[in-house]
Amino acid sequence: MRITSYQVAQQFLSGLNDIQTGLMTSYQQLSSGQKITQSSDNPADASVVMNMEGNLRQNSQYGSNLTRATTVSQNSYSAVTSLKDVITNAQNIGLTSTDATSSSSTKSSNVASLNQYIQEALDLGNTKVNGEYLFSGNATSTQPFAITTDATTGKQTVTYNGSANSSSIPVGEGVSLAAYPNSSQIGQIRAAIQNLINIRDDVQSGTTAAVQTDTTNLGTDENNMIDQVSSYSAVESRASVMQTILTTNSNALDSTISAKADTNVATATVQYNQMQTAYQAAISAGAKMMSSSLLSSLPTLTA
Amino acid sequence: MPGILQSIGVQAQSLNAQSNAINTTGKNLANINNPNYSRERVNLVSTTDGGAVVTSVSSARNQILDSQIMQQLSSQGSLNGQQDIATTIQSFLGERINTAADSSQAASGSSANSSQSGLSSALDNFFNAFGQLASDPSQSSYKQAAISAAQNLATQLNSLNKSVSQTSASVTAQIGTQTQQAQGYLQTTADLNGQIAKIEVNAPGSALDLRDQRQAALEKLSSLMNVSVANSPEGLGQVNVTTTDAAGNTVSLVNDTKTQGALSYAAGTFTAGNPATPIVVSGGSLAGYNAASTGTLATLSANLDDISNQLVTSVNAAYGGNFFVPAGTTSGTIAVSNAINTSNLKTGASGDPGANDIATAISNLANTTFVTANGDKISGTLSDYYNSQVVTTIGQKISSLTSQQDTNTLVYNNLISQRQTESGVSTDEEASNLMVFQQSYQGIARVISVMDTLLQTLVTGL
Repeated sequence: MRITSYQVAQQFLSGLNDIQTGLMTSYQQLSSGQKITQSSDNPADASVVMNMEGNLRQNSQYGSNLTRATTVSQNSYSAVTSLKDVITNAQNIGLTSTDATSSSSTKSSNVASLNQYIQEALDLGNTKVNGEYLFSGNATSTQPFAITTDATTGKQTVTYNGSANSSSIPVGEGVSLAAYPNSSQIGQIRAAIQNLINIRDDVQSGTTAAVQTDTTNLGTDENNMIDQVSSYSAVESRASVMQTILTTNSNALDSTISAKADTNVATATVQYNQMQTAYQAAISAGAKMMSSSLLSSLPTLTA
Repeated sequence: MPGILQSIGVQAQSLNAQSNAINTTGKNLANINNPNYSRERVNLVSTTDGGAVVTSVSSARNQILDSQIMQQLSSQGSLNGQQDIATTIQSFLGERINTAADSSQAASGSSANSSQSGLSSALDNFFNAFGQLASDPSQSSYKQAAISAAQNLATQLNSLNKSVSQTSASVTAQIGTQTQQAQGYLQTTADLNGQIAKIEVNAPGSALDLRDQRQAALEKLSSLMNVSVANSPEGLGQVNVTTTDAAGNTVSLVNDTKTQGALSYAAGTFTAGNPATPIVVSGGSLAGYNAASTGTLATLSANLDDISNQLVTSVNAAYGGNFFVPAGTTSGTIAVSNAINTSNLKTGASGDPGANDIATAISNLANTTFVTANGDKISGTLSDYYNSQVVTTIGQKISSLTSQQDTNTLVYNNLISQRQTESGVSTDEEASNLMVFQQSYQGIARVISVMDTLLQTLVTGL
């Protein structure tokens, strides 16, 4: 086969270019730590990675929502636990106020305490978190509970001004968590405050039978609050489990993304070294091959 | 038997022949790095009076190889044109995989907005922002985040539309420039045909340098568009250049010394010949750019419009009003309604500040599978459609083109190597020839010297 000088140079350059391309690929993989940075590097795997990245971003969002659900539940839990304590204290006053022989000063003292408990319960019912009322359903900017006094009878009544609807927080694809107190739970709080007002009025009027009924009603309210505490705990617990599942899922996605897109450093290093050796060998061989020719002997012949 | 004086004349003629051979070797060496040059050889013939003369100089050009190389150049040009545009599209789509950011997101697990770029991320951020808003619909900062995410998404689509338009415009300009270049090479071919014919009318096959120049022009033309080249029936070393129309009929581009009409391009169609006829350009960079313009870019634009249309239609339906400007259903016109702000952004149908059914419905659109058979604009979820129909399609195109280019380059290099084997200049061979011709020259000079001595002996002996 006839080999020409231009052919030698072109082959040398072509080979060198191939090696440099390989070197650059290995270098980029080593310096970036990734073997896939864009779709054209490996369209099939890149597509999978992009979808997984979308899932990761969505998981992050669901994670944030779970945190929000936990915060709402914790605040509800805290408010209702305190309300339960208030009810328990009012119940105790009710039990001691059934004695018809109680002195007027004891009665006044009990009424004063019950007034404090009513105010405390009202404040707990109107708990605000980040400027939003916790127990007003979807009407988060409206104070849910207020006490109105009938102008004729002087009878006080608790009114609820919030919404009958409350939202669930989306925490997964098609999954939501009812972290906000629902209308039934809110209704129980309203009833509890109303029963506190009733027992105060009955203690003040000294109606023993009515006080006994009020005390029994407060017992029911206390049980309702305990149920609510359990309910909020359950939401917290569910949020915690879901957070764990999300974290596990995100870690698995991250591992798969890493396996598909990250550089295998050992392989890339070996490839880089191989390419470097080939590059040096090509340069050395090419330089020697291209520098020698029969032309260099001509001056000797002419001498 | 010739006399001494006649012999000296014959040898002088032979000396001239060797000198010509040395000149040709010098020319070969001078063109050693000229890829279009075909090595030349002097054809020596012995004369009846005992000398040697140069009858002709021939070149070692192989027309079959030349034709195959032109075909490869056309394929390469087409692949390069398509690759240019596909790579440009991939760049402006800006979909970069960043596993470090993914790991950070997986570890923190609480980032509502990803820092990664591209429409894919913008789509996710938009739906996630509404997911965040659904968790606490009264939060003004979340409302602002949702509106900003929507504006960012619309801006991304507007920006992609602008990039597509700009790329289309530059491709059209590039096709225009290259069409003029191709016309220039056709003109050069016709001009060289004329010059070759003038020289070869008396000495067929003698216009070697001009033939080399014409082949170089034809190869440059082939890298721009596919053409067929055939020897002219008129002879005189001329060639005719033709292409075909859609029906496969031959359209003449160069006939002997004249170009036939002008090559032109408008609205995705090339015309050439006299009379001007629509032609099929299936090779060369013109074909590549045209395919990218009428195919890849047009499809990308349509896909982005479909995404925009689906987004506007679905979000406005879920919102129960004009969250996006209803008329802006293309990637160039999509926009968040100016009237939308944190004060009036609806999160629930009841209007209660804590209601989140609208925010949840918009957030859920991220996982909604659309079906074109049901009248939707796309099939699959918005993210899946964008990832598969746009990003992966472009990635696969680049990957496939790269693979084809590798194969094409291998074939091209083999053909060039084959042509070099036949037509290229070998330093060693030329050095060897130089020595041979030099020694011949020295030998003949010695003969003349001896004859001169004989003549002197004869003259002084008288």
